[in-house]
Amino acid sequence: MVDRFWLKKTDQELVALSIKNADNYLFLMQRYEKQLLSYIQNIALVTKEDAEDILQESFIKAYRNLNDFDLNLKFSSWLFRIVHNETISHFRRFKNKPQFKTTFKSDELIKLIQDEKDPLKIVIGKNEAEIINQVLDGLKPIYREVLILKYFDDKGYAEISDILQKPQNTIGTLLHRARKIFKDKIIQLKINL
Amino acid sequence: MEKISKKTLEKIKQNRISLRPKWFFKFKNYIFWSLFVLSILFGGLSVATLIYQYQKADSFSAYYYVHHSFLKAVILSLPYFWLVIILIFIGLAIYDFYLTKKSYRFNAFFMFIASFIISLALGIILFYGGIGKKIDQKLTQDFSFYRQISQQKEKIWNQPDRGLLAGKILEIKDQQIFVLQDLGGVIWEIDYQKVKIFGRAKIEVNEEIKIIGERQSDNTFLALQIRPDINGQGQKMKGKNSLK
Repeated sequence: MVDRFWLKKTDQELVALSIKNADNYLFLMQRYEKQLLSYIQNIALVTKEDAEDILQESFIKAYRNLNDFDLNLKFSSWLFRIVHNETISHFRRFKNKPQFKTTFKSDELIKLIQDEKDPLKIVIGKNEAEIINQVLDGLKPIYREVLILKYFDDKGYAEISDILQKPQNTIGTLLHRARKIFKDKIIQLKINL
Repeated sequence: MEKISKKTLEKIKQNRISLRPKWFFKFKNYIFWSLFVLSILFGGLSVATLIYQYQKADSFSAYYYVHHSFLKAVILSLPYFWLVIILIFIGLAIYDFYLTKKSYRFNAFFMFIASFIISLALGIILFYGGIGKKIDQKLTQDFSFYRQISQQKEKIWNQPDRGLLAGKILEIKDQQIFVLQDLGGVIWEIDYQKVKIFGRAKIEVNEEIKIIGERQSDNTFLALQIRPDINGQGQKMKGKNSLK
């Protein structure tokens, strides 16, 4: 009964309630915990414990800055941005470059390469997810991240722009390049197989 | 499941982590916007001073007469000191702007063009309001480094052998000749029968002018063009010491 009450609340309403009482912040965190944990693990090769630490730090940072949340933004975009920045800071603190090991299976990314109207139309077969992950792992971090946000987290251009804090037309250009490089690499990999 | 959320809430409560107040964010945003506006304003003041100094020195005409090359004259006459200052303020304006909220939605090139146009427009308005002249005079008066830069630009006009002369009219003898004291204090007889007068320059006693022409002997000079004085636009000199 209580859960249903909180489920009906919008993010904006939960933010307002969390500002009044910290206990209410739990429902906001629970709403995004699973999604954000996957996001951290997909944009950087970290242990589960490290990912949880990054997420906890991000949640605390978001809480401290709740009064700065702009109601014109989507709360999820704002939270993703904090997580993105915290993940980058984590690597800066440990003076490491993020390494990647994608573990998800994205049907959208599979469609992206199968819809190609090209004589070299790719039919990868059973191990397609593995090949896609291998190619994603080899991409530049920024290309990788826009593909993950677009095809895995299902974010629109405006949301990706708010998360990565780049203009929408830059996001469009990055996605276009990322898709092209991704397809080229898949084709190359298939030829070499 | 969702254990991180519960652990985080516990940590928030245990460590008594509190929300940063609304005024803190408003103040931060206000500071960044103020710095942006200040950078644009200083950019505008720099543009106004650049226009005044460029017009005052009029070194383009001198270089163009000497080198007969438009490009060379532009490159040699550009006021690089003020260009660097303007670029610094535009850079600061862009930096300050990117510290404000939602600024990421605008690309850097757009912001550079926008900041440049705003500074330029403001600079033109301030120049016509006489602000450029006041800043130039104040800097010339108070900073020897700046005075040296300004004088360097003026020296181009003190080359009679290359057809360039500047100074104060001491006497008008007749319809053909007037007497001029140049920047080095040398007295010249100027033949102005074939002269073309530019801008607000006038052939009157105590008028400061710049002349393009030909040296004819030790102390005689044929004037082909007369331009306004180095201290402004054809102003009459007021004191004895105004010609340095």
